[in-house]
Amino acid sequence: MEKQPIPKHEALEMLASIHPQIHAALDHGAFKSRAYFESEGTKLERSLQSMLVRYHAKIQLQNNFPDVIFDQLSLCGISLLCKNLVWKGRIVPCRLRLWKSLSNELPPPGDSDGKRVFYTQPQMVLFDGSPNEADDVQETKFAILWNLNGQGLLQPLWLVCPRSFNRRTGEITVWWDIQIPDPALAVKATKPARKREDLPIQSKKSEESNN
Amino acid sequence: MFNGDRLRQARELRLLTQSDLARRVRKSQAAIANIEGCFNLPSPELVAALAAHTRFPASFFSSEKGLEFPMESLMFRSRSATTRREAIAACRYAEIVYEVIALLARFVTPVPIRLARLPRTPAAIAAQQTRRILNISPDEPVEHLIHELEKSGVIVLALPLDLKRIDAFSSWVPGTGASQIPVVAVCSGRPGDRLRWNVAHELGHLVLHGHLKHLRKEQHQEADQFAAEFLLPEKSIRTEIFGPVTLSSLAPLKPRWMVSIQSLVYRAHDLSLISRRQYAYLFEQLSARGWRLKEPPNLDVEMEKPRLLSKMAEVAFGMPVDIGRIAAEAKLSTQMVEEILSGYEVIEQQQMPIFSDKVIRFSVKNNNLP
Repeated sequence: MEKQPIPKHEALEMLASIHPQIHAALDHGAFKSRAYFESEGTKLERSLQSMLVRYHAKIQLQNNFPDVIFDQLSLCGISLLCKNLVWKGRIVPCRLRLWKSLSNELPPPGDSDGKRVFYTQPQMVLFDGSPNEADDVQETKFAILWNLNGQGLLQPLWLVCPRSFNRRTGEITVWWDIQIPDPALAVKATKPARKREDLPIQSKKSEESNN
Repeated sequence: MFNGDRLRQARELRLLTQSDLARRVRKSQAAIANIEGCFNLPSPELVAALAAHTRFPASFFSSEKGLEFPMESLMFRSRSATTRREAIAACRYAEIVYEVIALLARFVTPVPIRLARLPRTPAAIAAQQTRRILNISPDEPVEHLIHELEKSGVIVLALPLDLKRIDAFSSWVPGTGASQIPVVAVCSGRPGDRLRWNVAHELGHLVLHGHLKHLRKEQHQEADQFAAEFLLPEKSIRTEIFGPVTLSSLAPLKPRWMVSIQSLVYRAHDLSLISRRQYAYLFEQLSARGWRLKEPPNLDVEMEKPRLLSKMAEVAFGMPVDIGRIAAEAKLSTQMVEEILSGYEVIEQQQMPIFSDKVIRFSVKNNNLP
């Protein structure tokens, strides 16, 4: 029987230490790519723009995640293996691929075997927190989809859990997908805890009697 | 004796022109002008009508007018008639609230003024010196700005007016003898972060421009520089904002420093922590997300309220505050006194340690500290 994947909201929680960094890195990449075309004074070229985003994001991620393994991919593609991700007290290795997508859908693999393999995870075994399943935990694959708007600003990211790819029809299926919340919206405002001293105001009568 | 100045004050506070009021009481504009100029006395029926339409008790119009709040600092922005009328209404309301404070001051001891005027001092240095004078740590966030000012003798007037174009204003007003009292007036309806910035900006005017009658664009820029350094000291911000600067990296600094994300972007640019391009990029992002008008609610900064007026009322007349008595003494309606007091913080006795009589207080002899 096919096992169910980790629910999408739990997956977001599991990746809570990673996806805000990815957001920040891509955002930085988006800025750097725009700055490049502005400073050069040249017309925007979409494929170079995407590559610059990936290039700067990758540098940023490599600085922020020293213990994460980055695969060497062509055209500054980003694929990272988080071997030490801990979820509910267990290590859950995760492989993340970052793709630009105009429609928030996994890009067609074309002739890319890498993509075809990545999209195929039918025997989804994911850790649900129960101790007897801990041994079953294998590498889990997620895709993070990004896009820029017409002004070159980063759009909301999507987390996608791929399921299968049909070589004959070219159909891609996913277990689920979910928009990644903006990291700024996850910041919690805390109220200052310190108590204040009241204003030193007294009745004139009481001050006179004190004197 | 009917006091025309009081009628003008009440009318302007309610944002009415002489013609507006004349129409409502079925008189001519000239008749209202003559009453305000003390050339004519109104009939008792007309006084009642004027009272009803301005929502002031009739007794208010026979009282002596107190302080005239200087409007010069507001006129900088008052190019349109509407803005000008709003500025005047804000001043008139400030006069009323100040009169209530002056009334209560007869019964209570004043808070010694510690604020120093530092004209011709560079804004950032003046901000650092002011932090020192007010006993605020040089590199930590100012937890409750209004409380810090009130503790130092600055009177903060909460105006129950939600005006479109007027946020806050300030002035040194005459006290007893030759002394002058620093006053900041703030309008309601602003988010907590914007209120703090407005108050810090006005503090800048008090410290830097207390000697000036008219403020120009450059002085407002200086007041903004003062506010930036006062709320976001350069030394600390340089260690807390580092690349790559994104909205999500700035967001956690908002609840810590209690300023808007926009102010943090400004400050980062000010201190050359981000380039002009990055500044533009971040502002485009703020606009695209609708955060220029309203920043995300999870980052809301708690609204600060001044305490002085409610504390004075509690000390003068006991708890619960006798609103009827204040209204009678100030010749205002109880509704108006309630409205004024609603802008001030009421603190349960258990919540806040009471300043003990046994604590030895050092009085400040020289208000104009260097």
